[in-house]
Amino acid sequence: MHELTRDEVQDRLVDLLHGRLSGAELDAVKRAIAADSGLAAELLLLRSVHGVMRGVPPVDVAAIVSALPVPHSAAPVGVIDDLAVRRAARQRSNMPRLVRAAAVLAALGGGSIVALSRLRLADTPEAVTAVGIDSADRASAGMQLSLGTSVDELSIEQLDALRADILMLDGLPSAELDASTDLLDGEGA
Amino acid sequence: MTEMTRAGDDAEDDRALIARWQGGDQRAATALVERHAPPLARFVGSLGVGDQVGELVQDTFVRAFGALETFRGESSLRSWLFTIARRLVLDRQRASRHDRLHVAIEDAQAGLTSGEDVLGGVVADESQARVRAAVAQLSPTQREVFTLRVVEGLSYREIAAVAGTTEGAARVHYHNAMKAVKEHVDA
Repeated sequence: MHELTRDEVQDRLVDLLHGRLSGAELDAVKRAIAADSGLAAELLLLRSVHGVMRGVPPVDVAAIVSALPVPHSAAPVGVIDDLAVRRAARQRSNMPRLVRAAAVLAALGGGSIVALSRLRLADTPEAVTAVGIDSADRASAGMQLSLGTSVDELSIEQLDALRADILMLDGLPSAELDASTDLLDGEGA
Repeated sequence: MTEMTRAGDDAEDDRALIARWQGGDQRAATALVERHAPPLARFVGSLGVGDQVGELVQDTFVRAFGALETFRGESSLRSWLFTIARRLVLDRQRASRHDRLHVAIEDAQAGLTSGEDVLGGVVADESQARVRAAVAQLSPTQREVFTLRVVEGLSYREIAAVAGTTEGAARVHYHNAMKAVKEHVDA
């Protein structure tokens, strides 16, 4: 390294003070200081100033950390990503669930219809043969569903309506999925 | 180790810690505060804010962490924190309509002394008293630049960013301050 000018050495005194010089640069600065009492006196003064003013007012790190805001992109991103994954998985798995729900409703609905028809036998004995399929209960469901109709033939809208009906029935598990359901039945992965 | 290398390592560490905090690691926030709070407190104390140092340091961190997404790493995190702290001090000064930054020499000396009292370990011998008085008699700008350079070891470029001036002006302020301190101590 070339010899430094006095100004260059003077500029590096603070770096020397903070231990940021090394190698040839450090050697050059040390040589210059050894040869120049003015530079040596300035370094001494800098050390004195640094020592006197190095004191740190008390700071409560724990209090500062507890006052910090929650990072915008920390947990929410992970949660959102996780929810997005679950939502996508749920959407992927909705169709077979709706088909299953339709099957349950059809079975229960059919049973109810048969029970109702038996209660009405006294009033309308002549309707016995038809009641299993053409009851008013079925009409209230708002769809052309019969026990003889395959659930595979139902439209999405019909399946959604069925699902809503199932949710209104007491004693049946909800068809709305949650995270634990996904994990337990393995379809949410 | 050169200044560039060490500054680069610190910046890299800071960036890594920031990324960890943004990922939800609270320990990274603690590490950042532990690393930067002492020099920040020292700098804020040098601005003559008296017993408001702790509050201002906390406000600085809260504001900085709330805006870390805007920190682009063009300057060091430390000098960015200093810049925020300086603005907070100026804002407070304007709000109170009381020039606390441009304190009188006596106030500055009192501020330095209170910091020293807290430490409780600095011997108030004559030479140290001279040094303190020499720094205290500097103009506010000179004192700020001198402190950032000598005590915190910032480069002229970083000082310029913190103090809102140019690198050349920071250099001139430093050399004028150094000259004034020398004269005061030698007198």
